Amino acid sequence: MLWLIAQKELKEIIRQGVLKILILTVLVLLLVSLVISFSYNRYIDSLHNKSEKESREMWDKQGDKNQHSAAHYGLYLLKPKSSSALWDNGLDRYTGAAIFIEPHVRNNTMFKAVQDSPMLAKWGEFTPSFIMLYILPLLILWITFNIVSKEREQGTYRLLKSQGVSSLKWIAGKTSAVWIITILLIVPVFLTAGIIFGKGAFFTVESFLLLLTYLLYAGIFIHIGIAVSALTKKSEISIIFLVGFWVLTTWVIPKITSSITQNIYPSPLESEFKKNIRDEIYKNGILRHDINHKNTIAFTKKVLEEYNVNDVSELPFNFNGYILQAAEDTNNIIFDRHYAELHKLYKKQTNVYTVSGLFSPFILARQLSMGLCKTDLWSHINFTKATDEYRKLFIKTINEDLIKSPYKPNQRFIRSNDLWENIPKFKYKLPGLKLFSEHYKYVYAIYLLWFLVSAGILLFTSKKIKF
Amino acid sequence: MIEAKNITKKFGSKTVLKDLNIKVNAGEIFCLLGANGAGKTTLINIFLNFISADSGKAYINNIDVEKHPSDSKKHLAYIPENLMLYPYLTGIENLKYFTNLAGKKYTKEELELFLSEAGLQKNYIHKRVSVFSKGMRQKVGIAIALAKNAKVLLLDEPTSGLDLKSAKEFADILKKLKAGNVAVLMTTHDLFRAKETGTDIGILKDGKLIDKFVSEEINYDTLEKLYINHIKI
Amino acid sequence: MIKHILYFEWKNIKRSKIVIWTAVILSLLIFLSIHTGNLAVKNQLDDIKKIKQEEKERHEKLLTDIEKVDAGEKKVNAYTNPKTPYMVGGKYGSYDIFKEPEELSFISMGQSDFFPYHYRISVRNRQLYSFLAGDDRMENPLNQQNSNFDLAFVLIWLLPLFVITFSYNILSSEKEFGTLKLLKASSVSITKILLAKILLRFIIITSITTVSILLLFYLYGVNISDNISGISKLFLFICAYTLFWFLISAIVNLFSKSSIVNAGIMFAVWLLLIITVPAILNIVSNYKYPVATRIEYVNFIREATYEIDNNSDKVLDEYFLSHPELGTRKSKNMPFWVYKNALKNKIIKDVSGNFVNHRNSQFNKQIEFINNFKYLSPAIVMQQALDKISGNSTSDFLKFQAEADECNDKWRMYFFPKILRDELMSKNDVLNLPKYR
Repeated sequence: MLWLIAQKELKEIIRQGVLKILILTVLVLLLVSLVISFSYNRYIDSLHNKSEKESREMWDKQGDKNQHSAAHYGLYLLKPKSSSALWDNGLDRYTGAAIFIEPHVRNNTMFKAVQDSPMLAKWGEFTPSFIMLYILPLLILWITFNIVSKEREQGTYRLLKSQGVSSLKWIAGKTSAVWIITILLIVPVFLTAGIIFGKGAFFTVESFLLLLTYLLYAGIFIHIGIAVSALTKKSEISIIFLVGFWVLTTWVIPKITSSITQNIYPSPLESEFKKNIRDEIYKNGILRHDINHKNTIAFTKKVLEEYNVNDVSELPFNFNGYILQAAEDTNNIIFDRHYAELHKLYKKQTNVYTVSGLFSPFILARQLSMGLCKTDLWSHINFTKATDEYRKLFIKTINEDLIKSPYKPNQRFIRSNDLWENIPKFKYKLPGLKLFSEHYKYVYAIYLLWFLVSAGILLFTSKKIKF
Repeated sequence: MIEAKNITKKFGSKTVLKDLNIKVNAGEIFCLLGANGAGKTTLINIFLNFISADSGKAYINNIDVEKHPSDSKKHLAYIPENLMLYPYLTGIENLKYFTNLAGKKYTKEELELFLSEAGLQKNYIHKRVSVFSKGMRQKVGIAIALAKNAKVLLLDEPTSGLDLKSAKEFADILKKLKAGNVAVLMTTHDLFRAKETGTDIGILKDGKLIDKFVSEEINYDTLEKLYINHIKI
Repeated sequence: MIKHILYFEWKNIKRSKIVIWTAVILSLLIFLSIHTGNLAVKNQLDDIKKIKQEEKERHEKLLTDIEKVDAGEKKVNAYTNPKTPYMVGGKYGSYDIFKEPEELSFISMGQSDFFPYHYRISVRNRQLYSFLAGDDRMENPLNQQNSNFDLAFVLIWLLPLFVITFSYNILSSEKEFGTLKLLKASSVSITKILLAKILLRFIIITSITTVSILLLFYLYGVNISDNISGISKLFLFICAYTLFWFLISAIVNLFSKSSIVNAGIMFAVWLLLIITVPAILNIVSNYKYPVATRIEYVNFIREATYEIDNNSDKVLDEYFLSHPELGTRKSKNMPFWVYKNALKNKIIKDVSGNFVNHRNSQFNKQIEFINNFKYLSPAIVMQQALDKISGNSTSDFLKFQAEADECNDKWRMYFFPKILRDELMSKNDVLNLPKYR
C-alpha cells in the first residue's frame, strides 16, 4: 500500500516538467560544485605543498650560521587540505593557512584566503555543501509544499477518502516518495564523487556520517514540508510559510547568532592579546635579550649557584643556549595558557551557535558538515596546536645543539649547515573521529532531535488531518 | 443496501437534515431531487463518513458507517459532482491507483476491460487525464466503481455539466449496474434524468423527504408540476 | 479613475491582515539590524579607543624611559635601549592609523569583516604591505563566516521577500476569485489596474521601511541634517530596489496563470538574482583574474632575500661601500639583525614592486569585472551602494590600505639612514617626530 502510494507520487513528480527541470538543475549544480571544489582544493593543496617545500628548502640551504640566527630565519608551515574538504570548505577561507615558526613567540595563522577576493565573499561559496544545505532544501520544499494541499485543490481528495485509505499510510506513502527522490539524488553522487575524488580515503566513518548528516537535513525539510502542506488550506500559504522557514533558519538566525556572539563573548583584539602575553612574560617569564631584567639576573644567579661557578663562561655548557631554552620553557607555558583561554572563549562562542541550533537545523547541519570535513574551527585549532608542538621541538633541537656548542663571550658561535636538514620535517596528521565526537556529540544529539521532532510532527499531522 | 435512519444534522443553528429516513435496496436507483441547500450533499457526506450526523444512523450494506468507516467504504463507490483525477497520470493509471488503494488487484487487461465497460474510448485509456473532458473523467469514476465491485454507489450531481450524449451514456451505464444488483443513491436537480434512470424518486426540502414516488408510476409532467409546487412553498 | 481603484484596493488590503503583519515584522527586523549594526560600530570604536590608549601609554613610556636612561637610572643594552631609532620607530614610538567608522557605518558592515581598519606604522613591521596585515580582532572564524545582521542584509535579502508575499497574487487572485472577468468587462485596462495595485503596495512597503528607518535613526541619535545626502541616497536606493522587485512582480502577474506559479517564479528569481548570480560572478572573477596569494608572495620574498638573510655581512658591507654618505659601518647600539632587517626591508621594497603591482592589478581587474557584471544582479548594485554610503566599500578600504602603505614607507625611510648610521635619538628628536597621514 505504502509502495503503491509512493509509486504514484514518484510518477507524478517525474512527469511534471518543472520539477524534472528543477531536480536536474540541482543535480547539475551539485556536480559542477564538486568539480569546482575539487579543482580548487587541488590547487590550494599543491600551492601549500609547494610553499612549504620551498620554505623548508630555503631553511635547509641557509648555510653556516649561528643556531639562534637560523631559528630566527624561521620556517613557514602550511595547512594541508583534507580530502573530505571536497564537500565543505568550511572555515578554511576564514582561518588562514600559513603559520610562521620562530623562537620566542607563538604566531597566529596568517593569510586568510577570503582577503584575496573579498568583494562577493558574503554571498557564500559555491561548494557541494552549499548545494546540500541551501539549495537542496528549496528543491524539497518545492516538491512538498503542495503534495497534500494540491489533492484538496484539484479535488482528488474526496475520491481518495471514499476509497477508505488510512491517512497515516497516505502521508507515509508521500513521504517515502520524496525520500526516494532525495536519496536517489544524493547517495549515488556522494558515493561516486567520494570514490573518484576521495583519493582512497573515502571509506571512513566520517564520510558516512557526513552522508547521514546531509540525508537527515533533507529529511527535516521533507517532514516539515509535507506537514505544512497537510496543515495549510491553500498551497500559496504553504509555500510562503515554508520559504519563510527556510530564510529564517538558513539566513536570519545564523547572522543574528553571529551578532549576539560577538557582543556577549567579544573576541580579543590581536594587539591587546599580544600585549597581555608580553606583559605577563615581562612579569613572570624570562627575557633572554634583556640581561638587566630582574628575572634574567635571578635566573643567571640561580644557574651559577647550582653549578657553583662565578661566571657563565665557566659553565660546562653554552649558557646562551641554556637560557634561550629556559626562556622557551618558561614563556611557552604563558603562551599556552593564553591560547587555551582564547580557545575556551571560542568554545563558549561556538556553544551559542549550538543553542541557536535549537531554532535552526541549518546551523547544526553546517557545524556537523564542517566538523566531518575537518574544515571546522576545532580542526584548525588542532592544526595550530600541532604546529606549536612542532615549533617547541624545532626550537628545542636547535637550542640543545647550541647548548653543546663552545661558549665564547661576545662572540656568536657559527654552526655548520648539516644541523638544519637533520631537523625532522613537519608532518601533520588530520584529526580523527575523536576530535569530532569531543566537540560535536551534543550538536549531533540536538540535530537528531530536530529530525525526530520533525518526523513526530509529520506523524501527528497525518493522524490529525481528518480522513 | 443504503439506509438512513432518523438522521439529523445541524450546522450551527441551521438544521440541514431533519429526522431523515431513506432506504435504497439492491437493484434500485434512488434519485434525490432538491434545490441548492436542501441537504443533498450533506446526506452523501454522512454516508461517506466525511461528516457525522448529530443523531440517527447511516448504514451501508447494514454496516454502521460511523462505527466501521473503513469496512463500510469497502462496499461503496462514490462519484462526486466534479470528479477530479491526477492530471499527470493516465486513465488506466488513475484507475489502478484508486482500486489498489481500495485493496483490489487486477491485471492490465482487466483494468482496460473495466474502462471500456464504463464507456471510455479505447484510444484514451493510456492518455493523461489532463486531456480528459468531464464526461470522460466520470467514466473513469464508474470504472473505479466497477472494479471495486461496489454494492453501493453514491452519486453527487453526476450529470450536471455533461452534454446530452454523455449524460445519456451515463444513464445507460447506471441501468447496467442496476441489473447487477447495485444500490444507487444519486442526487440531482435534473428532473428528466431522474425520471429516466431512477427506480425511485424522492424530493428533499429543508432537510426533510417531503415526497416519494416510484418512477414507473408517475409521468414526467406530473412530476414536474409536483416538484415546482414543492419548491415554491 | 486611478484614484478610484487605489481607494478600493486600499480598503481591500486594509481588511486583510497582511499590511499589519508586514509592518510589524519588517520594522522589527529593521530595528534588530540597526541595533546590531550600532553595536558592531560601537565595538569598533571601543577597539580604536583601546588601541589609542595603548599607543598613548607606549609613547609616554618611551619618553620616561629616555629620561631614565639620560639620568642614568636605567641600565640598558643594545636590545633594550629606548633611544635607538629601532625602538623609537619600531616599538615605543610607532603609531596607529585608523579607518574610523563613519556616522552611517552601521547601515552596512560591508567589507569591514575582511579588511582591517587599523594599521600600525612601525619600522618593525614584518608585513611591509598592509595587504599582508592580519585582522585587528582575533575573531572566531565562525562569526566571520556568518557575518553580521545589518540593515543592508534586511534591505537586500529580506525586503524583496516582503514584496513577493505582498504582490505575487495581485492579478491571479482576481482570476481565482473570478473577479478578473468583471474587471475585464469594465472600461479600464488591466494594465492600468495592475499599475494602480502595484503603486499602492509600493507606497505601503516603502513607507513602512523609510518611516521605521528614519524613526530608528532618530532614536539612535544619528544626526540627520549632517548626513542628509547619505540618508537621501539610502532612501533613493531603497525605492529603486523595491520598485525593481515590484516590476518583476508586475511582469510575472501579467504573464502567468495561477498564484502558485507566480509565487514559484518569483522565489526562483529571488534565488537566481540574490544567491546564484553573485556566487557565480565570484567564482568566474576568481578564475579569470586569479590573485597571487600572499603565500606565494612570502616565498617570492624569501627567495629574493636569500642573499641578505644568509650572507648579511657581505651584503651590508657592499651597501655601505656604494653609499658613502652613511659613513663607515658600525653596529654598536642595536642588535645586528636590526641593521640587517632595515636593509632587507629596503631590498624587499625594491624587488617586490612588480609582484605587488601584478597582484593589485589582478585585484582591480576582479573589481572591474564585478562592476561590469553587477547589473546582472540588483542585489550587488544595492550592496555596493549601501557599502559606499556607510563607508565600508572595497574602494574605501583599498584607499586606506594605500594610505597606510604610503605612511609606512615614509616612516621607514625616515628611520632607515638613522639605523644604518647607528644613531641614537634624544627626547627632543622623539617629540619632533614626523606624523604621516
